[in-house]
Amino acid sequence: MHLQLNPHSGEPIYRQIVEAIKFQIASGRLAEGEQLPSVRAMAGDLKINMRTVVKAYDELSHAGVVVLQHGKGAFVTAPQRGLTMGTRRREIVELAKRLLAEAASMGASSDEVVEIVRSVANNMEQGK
Amino acid sequence: MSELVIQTESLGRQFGSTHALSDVSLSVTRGTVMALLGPNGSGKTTLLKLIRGLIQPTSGRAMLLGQDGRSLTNEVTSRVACLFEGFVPPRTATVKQLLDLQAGASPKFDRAMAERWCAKRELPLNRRMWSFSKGQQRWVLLGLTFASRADVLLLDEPADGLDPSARRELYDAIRDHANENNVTAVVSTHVIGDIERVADELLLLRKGRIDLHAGLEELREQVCEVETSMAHGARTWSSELVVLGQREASGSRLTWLRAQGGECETFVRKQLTNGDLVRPVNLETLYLALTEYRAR
Amino acid sequence: MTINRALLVWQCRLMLPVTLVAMLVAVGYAAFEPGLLRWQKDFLALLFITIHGWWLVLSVGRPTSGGVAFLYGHGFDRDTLWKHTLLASALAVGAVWVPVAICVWSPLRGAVQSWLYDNPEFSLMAPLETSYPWFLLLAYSVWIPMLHYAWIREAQPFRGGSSGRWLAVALVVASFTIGNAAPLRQAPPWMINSFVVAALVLSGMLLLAGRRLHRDLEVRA
Repeated sequence: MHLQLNPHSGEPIYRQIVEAIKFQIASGRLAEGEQLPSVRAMAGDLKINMRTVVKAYDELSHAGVVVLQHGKGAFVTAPQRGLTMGTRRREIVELAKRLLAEAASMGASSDEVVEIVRSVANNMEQGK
Repeated sequence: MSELVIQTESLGRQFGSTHALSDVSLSVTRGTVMALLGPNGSGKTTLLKLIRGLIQPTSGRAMLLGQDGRSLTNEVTSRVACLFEGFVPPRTATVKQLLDLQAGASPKFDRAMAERWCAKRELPLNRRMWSFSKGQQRWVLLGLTFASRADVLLLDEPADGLDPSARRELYDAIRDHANENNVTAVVSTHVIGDIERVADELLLLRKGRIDLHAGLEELREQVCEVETSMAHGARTWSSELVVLGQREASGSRLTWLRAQGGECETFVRKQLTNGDLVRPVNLETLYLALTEYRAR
Repeated sequence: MTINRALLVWQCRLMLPVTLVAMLVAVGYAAFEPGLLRWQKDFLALLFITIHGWWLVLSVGRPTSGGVAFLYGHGFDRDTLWKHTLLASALAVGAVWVPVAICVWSPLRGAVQSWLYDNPEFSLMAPLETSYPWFLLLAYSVWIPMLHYAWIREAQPFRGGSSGRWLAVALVVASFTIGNAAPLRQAPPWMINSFVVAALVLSGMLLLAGRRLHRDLEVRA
């Protein structure tokens, strides 16, 4: 597994790892129960501090995306079904608002955004 | 894990009436890769030389691996490798002679590693330094530095003269040594993009003083750029946000903000008006914000 | 006293050019000089030692040169460097002095003199020349520490850097003057002995002071 990070984007690296792994899970490249690379291996591969990887894994575990087994590593968990419909919807609405606001400031219409979302989703589906 | 490798206490150095370095208090823990940035003449080389005890402070002191920089014993010096512009072996020296010298200087010297390093760029051991290009000479010296298996690396503009792929390998090697052997590295450079990739901490010097010392991951969270329309006039921000710099460009105003102990974007989002944009800030932009477009 | 062979070899290599040149010149002089080799009024020898010593110290001890700075940033502590610099200097001087001494003390010089110049006086000269190599060695034992001291002084962070230079100049001038002074041509042994003692004391003082100041030396390449 190789994650494509951008060290020059200004986004915290740990957050980029979190997003990248979430994406890999969503697109099916990482299946439930699969083990993430060890902290050392991931840090060596990405040329980053091991603490950054630890922070990313902690964040993922906090979000319930992976489970950390002491001495064994990090394993992908099943998608979260614990959230109530209402909470899940609220969270996604927030994300959508943000996306639309950013897109609007770049001059994109909401139709264009919806179209892009659909094509990204298709891409993800193909990965499965 | 948190052993202090380098520690300076209000360290300063004057050359005649010029204050090359003033009041630098700094701690670097083991395994840290520190990016030392600053404009020309901001004191980067002076700081590195003071830490290594190559020059003497006029005030304060520098501690390296627990010893005062003014009186380092072999116990410490053999565990430190440094690279400075102008500290060059005679042009008549062969690579092999340099390896022999390094073997005498560093008890843990890994000759095989140095030989592999030179072989990577096809530099034969029996060749003399004068037959190499500037970048190749630098490559040899870097090989010695890493193969010395030193615990501390003090590198002043190490990528000088290297081509892009060699530069990449150099910074990868710095990271690998920090990850695998807990090596502490302080690296000064003007090429910000390279060091941004592997550094943990940033030390920005300005006119011989510390301008900014922070973890890079923290800075990535704490600093952001806001683009506002000039039509909206000057903006004020809540007290958690410090304006680092500002710049006007084609009808909009770019403002760089740092949130004290929090995520910049979260604070800023609450204060945006329609049409404002907020973006993360990379090191290059942050550097320019603090030097070129500095507030105050 | 542990010797770091790698460092010593490196430093000796730095002095290889000066040593080769000096050896050729010195042995040539010792073999072919038709006049009496004696310490009084020997301008050439003093001049040679000054130039040789200067070049030698320049090769191994000038902290503003890249090659020397390279060593100072290289994992050795100051006392180790000082010790090895002196040891290497002594070896390099030895490489010039020993052949000269052999040339003077062995029948070599005699052979050259009688065959080349058919010099009838040489049998009378030879006994007078036996002390000559010792005079050279004594001069080196002051010159080398003095020239090292001058550079170390020059590279001090705060104290007046040029004083070492003036000390060197003063010593060279004094030596030329003393060597040339008429009454000394027939100096009694006690006077020569006291010169020797004074020179050795001076040499020792320069070495001690050099060692102390060398710890504060600043490397500014």
